Amino acid sequence: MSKFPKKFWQDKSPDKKNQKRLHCVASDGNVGYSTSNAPADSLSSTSEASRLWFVQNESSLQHADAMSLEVGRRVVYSSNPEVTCASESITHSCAQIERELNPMLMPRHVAIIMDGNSRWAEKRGLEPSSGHEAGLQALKNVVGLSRRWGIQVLTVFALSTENWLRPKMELDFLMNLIERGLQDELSNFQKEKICIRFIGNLSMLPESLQSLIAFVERSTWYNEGLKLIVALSYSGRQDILQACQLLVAQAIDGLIKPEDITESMIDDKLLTTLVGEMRNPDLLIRTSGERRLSNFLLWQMAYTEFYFVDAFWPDFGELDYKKALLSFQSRKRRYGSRL
Amino acid sequence: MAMGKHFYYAYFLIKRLLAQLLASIAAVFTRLGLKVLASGPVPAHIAIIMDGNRRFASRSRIDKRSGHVLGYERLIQTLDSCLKLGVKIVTVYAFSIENFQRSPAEVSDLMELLQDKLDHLVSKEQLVRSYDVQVRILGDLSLLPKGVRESAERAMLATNNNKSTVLNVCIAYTSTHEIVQAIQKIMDERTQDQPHDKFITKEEIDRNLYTGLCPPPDILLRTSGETRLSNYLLWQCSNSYMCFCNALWPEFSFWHLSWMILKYQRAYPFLPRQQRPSF
Repeated sequence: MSKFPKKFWQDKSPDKKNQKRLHCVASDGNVGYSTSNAPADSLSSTSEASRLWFVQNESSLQHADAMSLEVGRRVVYSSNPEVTCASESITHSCAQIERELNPMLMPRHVAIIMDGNSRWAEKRGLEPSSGHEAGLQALKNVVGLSRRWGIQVLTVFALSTENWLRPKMELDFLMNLIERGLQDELSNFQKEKICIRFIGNLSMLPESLQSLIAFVERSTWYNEGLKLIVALSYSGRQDILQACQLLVAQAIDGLIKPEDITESMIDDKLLTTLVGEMRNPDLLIRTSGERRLSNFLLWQMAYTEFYFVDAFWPDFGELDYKKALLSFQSRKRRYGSRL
Repeated sequence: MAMGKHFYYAYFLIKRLLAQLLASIAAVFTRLGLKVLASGPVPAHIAIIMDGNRRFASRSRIDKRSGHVLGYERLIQTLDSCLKLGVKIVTVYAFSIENFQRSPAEVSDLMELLQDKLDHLVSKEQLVRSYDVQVRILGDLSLLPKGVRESAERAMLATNNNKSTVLNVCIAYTSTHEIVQAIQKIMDERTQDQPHDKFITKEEIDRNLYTGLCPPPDILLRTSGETRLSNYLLWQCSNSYMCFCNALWPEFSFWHLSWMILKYQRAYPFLPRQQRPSF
């Protein structure tokens, strides 16, 4: 019977058998190594850090950059639920670490499809416009959380080209809401150093909104904090098409040869190239339980991790966001080197 | 002693009869299940990322090659169920261009397996004949070794006249590479016809992709619990219903497939109107 293949549900995580803390990294960057159950002793004299993280293997300590960090399925392994250290300033329990987000494994670019405003309002017997207002509040909350947790780029899908088919009254309200939102939040963006940019077919928007968008982009152009990209009247296929169009035009003009066209050339011509090397989202969150991409950032999502939430967008709060990020942090990303 | 031998034979006979009985009961339930599913909307095109062969092999303590062989057998069974259900097009992700970065031993093993199985699929599988399946190999065949390339071309040639159902096997494929080669094909056409026309349309790109005139997938399925696309059908899947199954590919059974179809049927009324297949 031992040769009988085990079903996947019987074999949860074989790594749990050997739970030993091997290495420990303090939040101020100091590193300690130990195979005992009290690795913190080695750090207590060298750092006053208030937080410690434990990683499973040594290779994960070589890169401080969260993107290239590859750890096992669970960052924290411990047979000892409590860790007390010699120095009083480092006292932390493993159980608490497990529930918190690991700043070294934060995604650099998070994309969100904010779906479900109308359904949220319908469920409560309200007009769709109230749903959109509540959605704006949820967005403000998420932007604040992203900034606090160190996410560098946040892309949100506000309006798709397919959404132009909605009733005119709803669209007018949406345009008004975006204008009001931008005017109210501009001072906030400057204070919190948020750089806001808009991608999509902006010529379809009303003139007043277009000029306001241009003004807001110019004002926040040099802000160094969170980059908030709002996709308004955006279509992923249209994005790829306009990039291909530019390359075809260059090829016809004789500037490049067709056989020299590469994927990175298309990367550089897409609308998300404004964030440079962070153009590809690490995590996509879609609310309201739909399991579709709906024509959002198709090329860029080649290796993005998906996370689907059943709650509607106005109900998406800190807890849901934390769960999504924790789920992301527990995944092994191989970028295609092994399918 | 003779009595003992008779009991021995009787035991094996009864065991075989019981196994056959159970198999026929299972077949009855499967047919019943298929009829129940077919009463609702059935997807016209299913795309599958067959992930988890190697993890299955390591869990079952067999070698990776056997894991992939089991994966192939699972593919044939799943294809059988899908075609019985009425699905017209099945697209599977067999080998990505990124997989060439694996160890050379593993890549050569996989190439050998692909060559064997492509020949086996077309010459010996009953499925291809009974459902009139047209086998198409999508991907950059110039990156493949000569043996695999020739098997692929033979497979496509042998099934070229089959028009009822289509099996697209993606070998040496990534979606970004596909879009780049579509632009290059458009440029080749342009230089012959209208050299100064700089305008390209979505339909032109659709036509020049490897999937060609196939409708976009209605369901995209990925096994082994990973929730990402890994550069698969990015252009085509913009509105597909995405299903992620925790079972590893060699464990993917008819019941997982039914559950997936049921979820699709539940979500069907909410899909965008243009995505609904006509049936």
